[in-house]
Amino acid sequence: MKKLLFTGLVVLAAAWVVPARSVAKEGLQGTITLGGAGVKLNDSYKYAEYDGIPEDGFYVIGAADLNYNRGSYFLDFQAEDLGLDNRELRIESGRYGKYKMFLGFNQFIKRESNASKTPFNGAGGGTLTLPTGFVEGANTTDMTTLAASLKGINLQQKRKRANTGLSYTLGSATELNVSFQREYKKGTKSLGGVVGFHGGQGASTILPQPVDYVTDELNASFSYNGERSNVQLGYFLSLFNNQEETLTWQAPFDVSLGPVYQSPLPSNGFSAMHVLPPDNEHHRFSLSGGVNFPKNTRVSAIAELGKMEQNETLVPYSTSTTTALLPRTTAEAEIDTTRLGLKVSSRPIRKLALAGGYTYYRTENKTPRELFRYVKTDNINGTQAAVDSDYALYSLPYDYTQNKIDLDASYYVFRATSLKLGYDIETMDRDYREIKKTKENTYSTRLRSGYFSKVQANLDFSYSERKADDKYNPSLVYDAHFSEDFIATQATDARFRNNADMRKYDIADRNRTKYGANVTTFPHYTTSVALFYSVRGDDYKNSTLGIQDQDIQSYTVDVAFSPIDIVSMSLYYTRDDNEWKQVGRSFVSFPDVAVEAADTDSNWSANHEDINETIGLSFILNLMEDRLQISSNFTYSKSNTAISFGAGPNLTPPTNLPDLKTELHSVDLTGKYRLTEKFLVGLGYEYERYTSDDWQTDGVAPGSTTLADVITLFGSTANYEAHLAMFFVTMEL
Amino acid sequence: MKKQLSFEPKGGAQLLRIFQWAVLFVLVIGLFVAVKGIEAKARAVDWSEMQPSVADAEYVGVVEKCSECHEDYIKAFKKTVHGKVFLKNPQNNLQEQYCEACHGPLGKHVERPRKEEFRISLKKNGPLSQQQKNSVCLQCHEKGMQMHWRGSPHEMSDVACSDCHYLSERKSKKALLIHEDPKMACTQCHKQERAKLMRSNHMPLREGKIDCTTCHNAHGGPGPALLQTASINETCYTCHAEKRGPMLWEHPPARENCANCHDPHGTNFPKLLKAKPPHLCQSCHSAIFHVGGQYSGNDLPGGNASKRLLGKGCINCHSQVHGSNHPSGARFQR
Repeated sequence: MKKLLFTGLVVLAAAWVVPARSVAKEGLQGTITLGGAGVKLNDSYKYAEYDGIPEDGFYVIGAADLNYNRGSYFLDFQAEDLGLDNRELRIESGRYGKYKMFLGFNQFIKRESNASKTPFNGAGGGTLTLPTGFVEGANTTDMTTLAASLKGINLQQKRKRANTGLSYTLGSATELNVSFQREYKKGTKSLGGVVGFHGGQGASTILPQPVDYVTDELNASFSYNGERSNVQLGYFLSLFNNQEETLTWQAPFDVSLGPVYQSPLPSNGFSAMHVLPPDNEHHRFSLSGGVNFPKNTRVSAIAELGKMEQNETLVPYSTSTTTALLPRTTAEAEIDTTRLGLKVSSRPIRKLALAGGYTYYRTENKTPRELFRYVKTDNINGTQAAVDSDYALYSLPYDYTQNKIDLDASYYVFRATSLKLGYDIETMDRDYREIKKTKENTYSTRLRSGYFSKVQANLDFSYSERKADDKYNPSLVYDAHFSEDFIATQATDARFRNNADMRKYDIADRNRTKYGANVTTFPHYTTSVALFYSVRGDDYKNSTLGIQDQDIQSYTVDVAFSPIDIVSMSLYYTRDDNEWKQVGRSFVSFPDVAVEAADTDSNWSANHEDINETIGLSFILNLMEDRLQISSNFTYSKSNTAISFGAGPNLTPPTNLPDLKTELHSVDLTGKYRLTEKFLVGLGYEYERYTSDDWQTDGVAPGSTTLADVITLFGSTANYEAHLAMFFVTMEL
Repeated sequence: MKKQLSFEPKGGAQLLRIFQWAVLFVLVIGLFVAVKGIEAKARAVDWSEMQPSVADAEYVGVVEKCSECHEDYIKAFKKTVHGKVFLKNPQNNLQEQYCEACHGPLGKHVERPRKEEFRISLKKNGPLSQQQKNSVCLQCHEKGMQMHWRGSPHEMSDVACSDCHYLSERKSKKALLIHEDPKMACTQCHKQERAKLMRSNHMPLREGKIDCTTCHNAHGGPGPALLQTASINETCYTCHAEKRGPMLWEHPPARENCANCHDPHGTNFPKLLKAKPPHLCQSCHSAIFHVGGQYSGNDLPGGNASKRLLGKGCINCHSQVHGSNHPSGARFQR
């Protein structure tokens, strides 16, 4: 990283110094801002989760936006948030219209918790061990030393990106662009690690997963831009390298639920292993272009060929087996992508606009389909599964092909009033899904009018129907996934895993209706009022199980008001309602799985209702002939998710879940006073309060015995109340 | 039942092949025209067609003349990248015209400045149509990111370049947008997305660390929803390359479309999920025993506290839902 930065700086400096000798100085302009801020915050990771603002303390405010030029040569420097973990710097130099080169540095932070706890030693690395004397148990209650073993850990990730690039215009029509970026991402996140023989009776430990990624990206393009046509040839390369390829942990659970599972448990416990994201690479070549014809007609097209591949060495089925049992030793995973796009647009007469497009996108998965006779969750006594067991599964190289045609026509029917009609058809062909092919037809129309000078209005409506070409057939997946020997052991009517009545919503038959209206009025030259309303309704009409329907409605009111030149205000309110219903079926495998799976008395339903309301208010006041500016923003956001249940007579009567709630208040007030022509001082204050109720994590302390078979990790509360005060000086050059 | 329309009737495969060849044909033609060596010059607007009253107007060609009346505008304009390129190193005849590159020949306007018909205003509520105003910008900008502008959803919705860009003054640090905050250009119309940014789980747009153009190309990105790349997933992989794989064990909906489970604009559920597990997972999965079971308020602490509902829900155990590269990862537990 340092070498890259140094090299880039030298190149930029050289580019600057050479022309500087030959061109007259013209000057430096821009702004530099320096200051400081103090924060008072209760113990929460959530506040400024992307800023890295310290919890309680002080940080430096530093920013710059500078431009220096001599003749046609320039040097730009931009910096933001220099005192924080999300700082960004960029320096760019070159000759206007001819060439430029840049060097940048950019940091990101994502905080996920600040009070999580884990019993493991070695958190942040690839090997997690339990402390000496840790008492293992069949459940968390039996782990008598668990609470005393817990250690604090912060879950957060930081990205550091350095990038550099060159853009050069060759002659007057061709342009070359090359850029390179390296990103380091480091930190810790959480990952569930399960042990246990039965799928339903496994025990999980939420692990601190190390994040140590290096990603390189190269982007290059060469383009020609003529009077009537242009062509661009591009290449994109992305190389992902994970520095920690596995995560091994000593299992705290003494799981002896199965007759062959780790019984007797070794005296020193046993270790299980995850593989972490594999190193991979992505190449993509593209050729795109467009040609202009008479009658305002343009034809443009794009063709892309891509390849995503990874060939990591495979780990053994379990920590107690060897790679000799595997059908192959490396992943040999590859997906090739092909994309073709063609678009024709024309405005043959002033009132008419026509557009038509065709899109083809194909992913071709070349990963070998092979039988893996796997060992479940590192069963230490396990060996490869029998070929006629349901642990003998084929890996499925899933891929799909999209074909889409869209046609649009827009015509000005009155003054400033256009009517648009559209039609799309999309087909998706998929391998290893329950439906091989779906087709979706979409019809749309929109009326847009500015007929009345003080009113702009839009009405739009669309209807689409997605339908499978063939019958929904779970056997397509089942037969491809399980071994032939296993399938032969199953009764004909028991050859399924997912309930045959389930319709997966991404491929299920669906009717979608969308409509909306928005009106913007200008009742007075000082005021604008806008109303927006939109609805999307999905009906999964043939889904006995799965999502039944979904309705999303959104309302917005926007008001902008500027009664006098020195005052401007804006206010908005948005409410989003999202209601959806799902149906499931609870069933077991005995006495007859086919009968049980079809028993509608075991149906249950869940009705989800999300309501989100957001209010925003902003205010700017300029005084003393614009020497003093006072501005303020207020935001209030509230959400409520209610989930209610129904159940058939075979099931225990359910009770509803408590509502999920979030509430955010945020207000800031900033004053800027121009001391002199060159100096501006500012004071700012921000207040934020956030509360949430989440039944999924509230009351589930890390490492608690609340869950018998999960050692939890996440222990932070998101709620916070934060005060931030800042002072800054801006110098204009 | 209504018959589904299809563009693949009999001989559909052949039709498809014709389309694909058509794409290649257009590319080859474009390349040919380019290589033929047409001298690069801007696609000049026919100003007389746009505004007949300026048909015989001549170019003034001297920015100082414009400054006599529009000093403040030009002072601000000189700080923009257009102002600098046009003044310091113009790339073609058009750019040498400075103000007149975008406002057309102003000879008549200089002679009779108060006559409205002798000036060409690009203002939002001015007399020119969206298409006419855009044609001024396309003189130079119909390339690169703007190559597919014409016929794009925004263009067909009568969006004008000036709805998002303001050229006379540098209000934003990049792209000459109408506001210092880039997302304000998009949220003029995309109100629902503006509200979603305020939800408890969101990407760092609210904080200004990324902006809408990190994922979208508003000028006609050829991907779905005007994304920069061909598919939703290829866009997501640009920041989340660890999810790219390909994996030994693929989870089809995750491979096909991240947005099947995530809403990138913001949600109130962890990891930008559209709903919480287990109910999100149970939208597709209903198998024997625990997979198809009902998880309700009965399964909270104090009742039958369930690992399928609490903590990470299903993800407590099936933690590799984006795909697994472990030979024993068929059920995404490794």
